Amino acid sequence: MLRVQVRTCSINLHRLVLLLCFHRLVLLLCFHRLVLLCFHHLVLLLCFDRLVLLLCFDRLVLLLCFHRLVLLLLCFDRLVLLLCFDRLVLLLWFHRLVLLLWFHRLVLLLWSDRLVLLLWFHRLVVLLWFHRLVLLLWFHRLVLLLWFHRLVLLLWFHRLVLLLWFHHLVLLWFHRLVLQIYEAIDNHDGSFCAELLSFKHPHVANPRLQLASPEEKCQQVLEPPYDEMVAAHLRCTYAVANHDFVEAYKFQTLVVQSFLRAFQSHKEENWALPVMFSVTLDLRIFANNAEQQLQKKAKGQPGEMLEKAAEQLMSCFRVCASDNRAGIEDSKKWGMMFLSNQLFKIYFKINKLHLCKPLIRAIDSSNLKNDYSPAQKVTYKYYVGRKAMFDSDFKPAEEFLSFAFHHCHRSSQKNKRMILIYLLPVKMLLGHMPTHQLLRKYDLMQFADVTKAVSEGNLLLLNEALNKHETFFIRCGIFLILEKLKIITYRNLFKKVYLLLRTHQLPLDAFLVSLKMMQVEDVDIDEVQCILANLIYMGHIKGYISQQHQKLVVSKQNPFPPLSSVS
Amino acid sequence: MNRRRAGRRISSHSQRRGAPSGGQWRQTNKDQWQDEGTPQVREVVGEQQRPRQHGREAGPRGTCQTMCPARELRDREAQNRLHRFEMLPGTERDRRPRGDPLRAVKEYSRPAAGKDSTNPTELRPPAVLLKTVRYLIDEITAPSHQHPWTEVYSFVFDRLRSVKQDMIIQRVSGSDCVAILERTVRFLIYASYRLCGEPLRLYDPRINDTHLQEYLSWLLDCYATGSEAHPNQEEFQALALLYNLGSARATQHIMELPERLRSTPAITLALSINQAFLERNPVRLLRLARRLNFLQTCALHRHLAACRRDLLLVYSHGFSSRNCRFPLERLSQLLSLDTLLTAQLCQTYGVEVNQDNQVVFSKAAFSEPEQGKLHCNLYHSIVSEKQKDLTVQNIIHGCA
Repeated sequence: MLRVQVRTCSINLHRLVLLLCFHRLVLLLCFHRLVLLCFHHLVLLLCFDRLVLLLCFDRLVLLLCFHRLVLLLLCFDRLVLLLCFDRLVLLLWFHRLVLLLWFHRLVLLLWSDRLVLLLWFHRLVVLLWFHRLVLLLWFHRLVLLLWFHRLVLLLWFHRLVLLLWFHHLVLLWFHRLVLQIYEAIDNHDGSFCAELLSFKHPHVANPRLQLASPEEKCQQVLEPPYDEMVAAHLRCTYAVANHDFVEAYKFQTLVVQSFLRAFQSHKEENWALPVMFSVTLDLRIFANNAEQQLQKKAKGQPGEMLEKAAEQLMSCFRVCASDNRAGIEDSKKWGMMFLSNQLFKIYFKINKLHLCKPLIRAIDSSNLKNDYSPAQKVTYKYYVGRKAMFDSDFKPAEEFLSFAFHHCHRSSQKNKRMILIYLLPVKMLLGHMPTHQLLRKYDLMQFADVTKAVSEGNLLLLNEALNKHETFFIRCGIFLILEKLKIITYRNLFKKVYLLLRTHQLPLDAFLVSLKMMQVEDVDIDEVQCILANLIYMGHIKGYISQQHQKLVVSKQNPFPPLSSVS
Repeated sequence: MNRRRAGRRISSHSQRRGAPSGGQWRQTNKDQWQDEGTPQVREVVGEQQRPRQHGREAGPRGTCQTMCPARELRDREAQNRLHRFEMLPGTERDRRPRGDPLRAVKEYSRPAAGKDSTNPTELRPPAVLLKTVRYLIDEITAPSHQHPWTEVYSFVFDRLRSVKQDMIIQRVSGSDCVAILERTVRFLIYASYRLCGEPLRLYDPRINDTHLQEYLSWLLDCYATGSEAHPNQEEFQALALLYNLGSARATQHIMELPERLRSTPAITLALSINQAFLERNPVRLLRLARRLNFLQTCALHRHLAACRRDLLLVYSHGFSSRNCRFPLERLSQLLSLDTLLTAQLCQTYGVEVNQDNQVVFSKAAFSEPEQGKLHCNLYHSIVSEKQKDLTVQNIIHGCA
């Protein structure tokens, strides 16, 4: 085809050349006529030469164009070429015409002044050049436009290709995930299945899996209730990507419910426990996020979503706790502690601590309670210790929290700090003061002043310290317990008075003076008597008050027994 | 191809509604929903659900402008179920007494399945509810009747409960709700003091306490979630703490209030009393309690018995010696009672008082009184002396 084009072009060219020759001939004839008519032979000759030159020049131009055309033929459409060429031809004709006109004018002017003639001649030249420039520019423009359109066309084409690939890949990814889940369920591979359904796994960030309606495809591969579970999970990822945690929570509820149906149907096997752990963890996290979102919009009651999540978790717990048939390795009871920990976290958040009691009872009465993993045991003891603290059972609270603190892994500094926040007040109430290094290591310097005040019996400093860090203590919920330290502080203060006076019969005035020194306001002898009587009742002082003599009579042996021996 | 297109349409539609698509999904969802909605659960939920403050659509709007809807008045007249205070004067002795439309008040009726309690002609709008509460206080509670106060109490208690029910159905919130709740709380606190010691069949302190706690927590919720300023807030926060003295939850709640509110005198005083109670310092507690006003002392009064018991217990241990002679007047001063009553109290707790009016404290002698032996209302002087010339009306409306 290219050869045909070349041939036609050459034909055209030859035609043009012929035409040019013809015109030249015509021109020459005219000229000769003119020559015969005119008398300025030299001038005419000059003009003539110039004309000839011009013609040759044009021919050259034409040839150049032609060569360019030939070059472009290799990459261009025939139509474009023809258009260009025709336009070129037209222009050239135009130029010819112009030239002719001018020439005739020139000729006419030959009769006039020679200068005028020259001027006209130059002007002609300039115009020709100008037109040539214009032609070139137009030509280039055309070329550019055509290239541009070609590029656009290519881009559009590529885009189409990309879209098709995209859809293809989406289906591929989706199928891959569902098939993986199916395989995992088939092989009873709990941990892998858990990963695929958990939100900590990177697959949830994959935008290709965030489908709005995956039910049909899930139903094709998986059996009920797993199909509902996976479909709800995928909807959940979609909701999470849109940051709509309320929707995500709803779908995660469906995941948990359908999972529970499947779990209940597993008789005497517990491979799906990791799955339960990951879906319940995600449920609690979404309930938290949904609460925060609702609070920002000021809708709904606080704690509503968390309570519903707690109900769901409770039903999972019941399924685990009521598994009596299976042997130890296949029993679902291994899931009880994890679920209790999750439930504790919710109950502490919504401040319904009384609901922890049945869980604690259930775990205590099970025979697996010492065989759970250390991480679960630490978390469990931490929450049980906190509950004991709020119930004012300080001895068991100390036991639990110390266990949690010692068995907590060295690298989880944040967890250790959290345990310490609750362990410190309990230990202080039992008389063990923390060292400065410990407080500095765990960044709990708020307790430093409190410790100092209590061990010195300095009520003033204690009040100041409690006021200074009030917000921190209230937020952690230990402010009320730290206030109980006042009694210990009184005891330490009065012990100092005893040590100073070195007698067994201490006048009540001395205590009053010591309290006044600590700037305790509006305290009188009656109150001093009451405080002392209270300390005696609690066992911190051994002795009695004599009203007649207004003295405190303490025992000669160990009047102030150590704090740890007093419950 | 048509089927596929239809399927896609269903799924997109249900996605808009937020429910999953497909026949199976709908089935399981319906089962879920049916399990939740049993009639008993709904009844209790209807009673205990409180109006959400923001973001929910408003409840039905009541249109009844009288204290009792006309239909109910007719029905009760026909069934002879009018209360004495609602009858037309002069017709009380008739076989069918007539009801006075200006004095009849809508009574409380338990919500039940099939009963439509949202009919607007039966519901009273908030303005009428406030008017009803004012009427109940000014015309029924305040004046002295020949009828025993227990009857007045049971009438007003029941009618206030129906006011509360109307408020819940219409999801009332804001200053109207707060005004009604404040008066109700004051009435119940006053009643808890005034009827202390009455026989159980006429007045049950447990029921009063349950309802009072509910009203209090609703009122505190209103304070917490409302945006306008409430002038009586400090008074009621203090009352809530005094009523629930020693409760960790109540103390934590007060601790979480903003600093500005916590430093008001009423709440500071309540906090110090609470602190004294937790520290087991009854001397300080009773001394601070003298600074409370009448209504606050009413709120506190049910803890006073425990306080006095603590005092006697602690002193029994602290002063326990053979030669102990504690002057009775001193003890009665500490307990804010007169000497006769103090001696009686000591006797109840097994603490010995000798002839010279000296108390002999002994660890071993202290004993808890038997059930029913301790009559709290004998020791009400600390409260009653504050009432002096306050009228009941002023107390409950809070203008004292």
